[in-house]
Amino acid sequence: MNRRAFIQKTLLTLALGQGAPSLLSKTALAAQSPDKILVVVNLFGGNDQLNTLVPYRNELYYRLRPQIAIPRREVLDLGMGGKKLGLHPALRPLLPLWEAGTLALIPQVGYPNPNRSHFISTAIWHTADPSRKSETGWLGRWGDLQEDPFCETFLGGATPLAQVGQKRTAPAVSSIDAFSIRLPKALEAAFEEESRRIRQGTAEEVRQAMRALRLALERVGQLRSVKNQAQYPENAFGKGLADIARMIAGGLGSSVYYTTLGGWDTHAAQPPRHAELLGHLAQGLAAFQADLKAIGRYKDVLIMVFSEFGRQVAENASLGTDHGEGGLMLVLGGGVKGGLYGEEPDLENLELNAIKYQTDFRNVYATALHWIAASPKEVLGADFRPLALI
Amino acid sequence: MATSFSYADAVHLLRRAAARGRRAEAEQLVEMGLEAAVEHLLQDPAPAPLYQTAASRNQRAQQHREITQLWLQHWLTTPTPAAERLVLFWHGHLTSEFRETMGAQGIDFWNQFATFRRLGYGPYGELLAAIAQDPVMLLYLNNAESRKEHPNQNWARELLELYTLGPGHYSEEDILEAARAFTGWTVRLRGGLRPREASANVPFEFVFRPAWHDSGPKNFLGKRVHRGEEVLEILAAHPQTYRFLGRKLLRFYLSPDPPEGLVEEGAKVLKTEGTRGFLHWLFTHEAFYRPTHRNSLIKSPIEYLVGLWYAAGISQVDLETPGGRQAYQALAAMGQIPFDPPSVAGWEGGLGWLAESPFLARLNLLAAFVGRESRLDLSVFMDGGHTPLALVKPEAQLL
Repeated sequence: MNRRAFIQKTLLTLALGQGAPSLLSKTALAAQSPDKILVVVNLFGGNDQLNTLVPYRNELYYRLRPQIAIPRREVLDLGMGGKKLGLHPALRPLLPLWEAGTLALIPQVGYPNPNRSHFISTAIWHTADPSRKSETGWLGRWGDLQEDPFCETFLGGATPLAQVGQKRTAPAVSSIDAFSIRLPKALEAAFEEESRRIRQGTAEEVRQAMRALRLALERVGQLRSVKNQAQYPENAFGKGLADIARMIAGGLGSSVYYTTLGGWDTHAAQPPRHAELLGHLAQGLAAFQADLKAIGRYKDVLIMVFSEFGRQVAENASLGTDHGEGGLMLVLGGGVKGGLYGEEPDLENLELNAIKYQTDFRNVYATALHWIAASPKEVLGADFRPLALI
Repeated sequence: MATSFSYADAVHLLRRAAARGRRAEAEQLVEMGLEAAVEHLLQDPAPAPLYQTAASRNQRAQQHREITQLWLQHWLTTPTPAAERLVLFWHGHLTSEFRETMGAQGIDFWNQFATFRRLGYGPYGELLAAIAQDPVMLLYLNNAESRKEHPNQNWARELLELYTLGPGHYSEEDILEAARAFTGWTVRLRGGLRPREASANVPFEFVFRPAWHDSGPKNFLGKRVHRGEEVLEILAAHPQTYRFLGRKLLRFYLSPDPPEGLVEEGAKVLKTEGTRGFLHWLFTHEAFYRPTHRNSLIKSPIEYLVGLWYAAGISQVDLETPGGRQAYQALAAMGQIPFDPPSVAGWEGGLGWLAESPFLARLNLLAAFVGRESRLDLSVFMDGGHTPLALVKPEAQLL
């Protein structure tokens, strides 16, 4: 019995015992999805913190980036709470969330002995293990402790390491509407049959994938009639968030959703590309927040945005920036205490042209784990003090 | 290798080497015997068709479809399909992304594939040296804009991390120094044309601009060097390059987790005998035919589609027809569009291909093959494929 079925059955027994049919329908509905939900957004490629949360009162910033700095007059002022930092103009859709006190900005997030390789740094963020010994993802380790294979879901093609556990991997669904099997009856029946016959070696691993797919087809198929309550931007990231909202509204039952937005590796011609990406990010997140409000789940969902590293401080000769170290994290949602969680970056004290990190990312992970009532110690292997943002 | 070379061995060899085959071909290999069969498969690549487009330089999506079609069709029809599977390997190793390579045209990517064909079987140092001056690579990893005032580190970093030594065998300083050595390695349009006045059939070519080059000494991996060529020579002579590349080749041709002994042995063969020598060594090695290594790889989407088309007797690919468009969309949904790996690390492969959504896209392709039973020959495509119903067996996904 999966977790959802178990909860439903327990609640059903309870409710029947009390003989209250109205209560039954209400609680059974509530049990369709856990209370608190975590949405993780992975910005792959290394987002440039300095042009996202701009130190626009710092002369050195303009000296080190003569071509690509965000002009002072264009920066979105965050008031005194933003200290001397402001947002890139393309992030305007996030400004109301900041003003409502539900957007937390955490600059200079990283880990000891930073690695500037995309792939190694991403693996470190995904495993939450800077020593690079762990082969499972932090959310995968959490998933291993759960009953329901759909306790977490990935929106996209192939599940990232973060959601790979010892026992299972989060299902990967790139689109609800495209997620249906279109086979002639005879082949569909044969597929059913083949997925039951145990194999050896890699063939058995394929058979497990067949079984996982059959289960996902059942679960996701039920969501096709669910509609969004907000208008999303027409890009892959917006569509992914729209589907996450449908999954939440339709009661898929995941506590964790994970999605990605790539293209942040701006070694050249950074300004237009970066503005476009930040625009996609902000528009998508703003629509998602509006949707959650409309379905009454705004206060239940915490969104955490990260990138594997920030970029170097001085620009290169191609109007771009090379790989850096510490970077910016965003945490937002109706249950978040907004504000700036960190200091203005110290541009005078750099490590090979990169900002030094101040906050360990695992402290932010600990916060997110607290949100879904998971044990940070069990998942992260040590005590990391959560940030006081929930 | 054992003395006998059975039909089952030939099927395994053909599927691994070429990802394409039918019964008669496997039978022909058996008749040749192992040694001759391997030499037959590893012949020099037959020339690929020339690419010419009527699209403009801005119509890159159209160009992308055209070169994709050209390549898939070539793989289906060439007498040397093993060379095309090796092109896929190099494409996933010495990567470039069409989507991310501003300015580069279809012809530039087609030229890069020609380089993979021309030098792919030879010494790795020669291929690497050619790719280091390949216009697509210079544009993709931004070396084309790298000047002495502010060297761009992108190419230098990936050269060390992904193309030669692998992580842990160099320092951040080595990256900075290598980046300095490659400053001034850039591109121009052939004939000195400007992009606005050139057709999309005018390719880029390599050019060295001394004024952009930092000619001072650099300290790279403990050696004093000046020029990019010297950096490449050091890397091409480094045993670690061959361990790193050899392991990757074994993961592509043998097993997701190749035995360490074979990695060491293979690295030496690769260094002294080039990639053809390496593949010859592997394909005639007793370990290659061990039961544990058979059916142990997952077909990538391109291999799956080419293998299936070939098994169904299809030799014409037209991506502009409804069926062709569907196939192209399926490649995207399965996670592998030619000329567009997801990142500079290429395609990860393995069981990731069979995550729910990509796996579903594979299965949904099958409807198009029902009704082709009379021409469908699955004997090389998969073990145990006697009827079209077998296409939903786990074995259909294995290489």
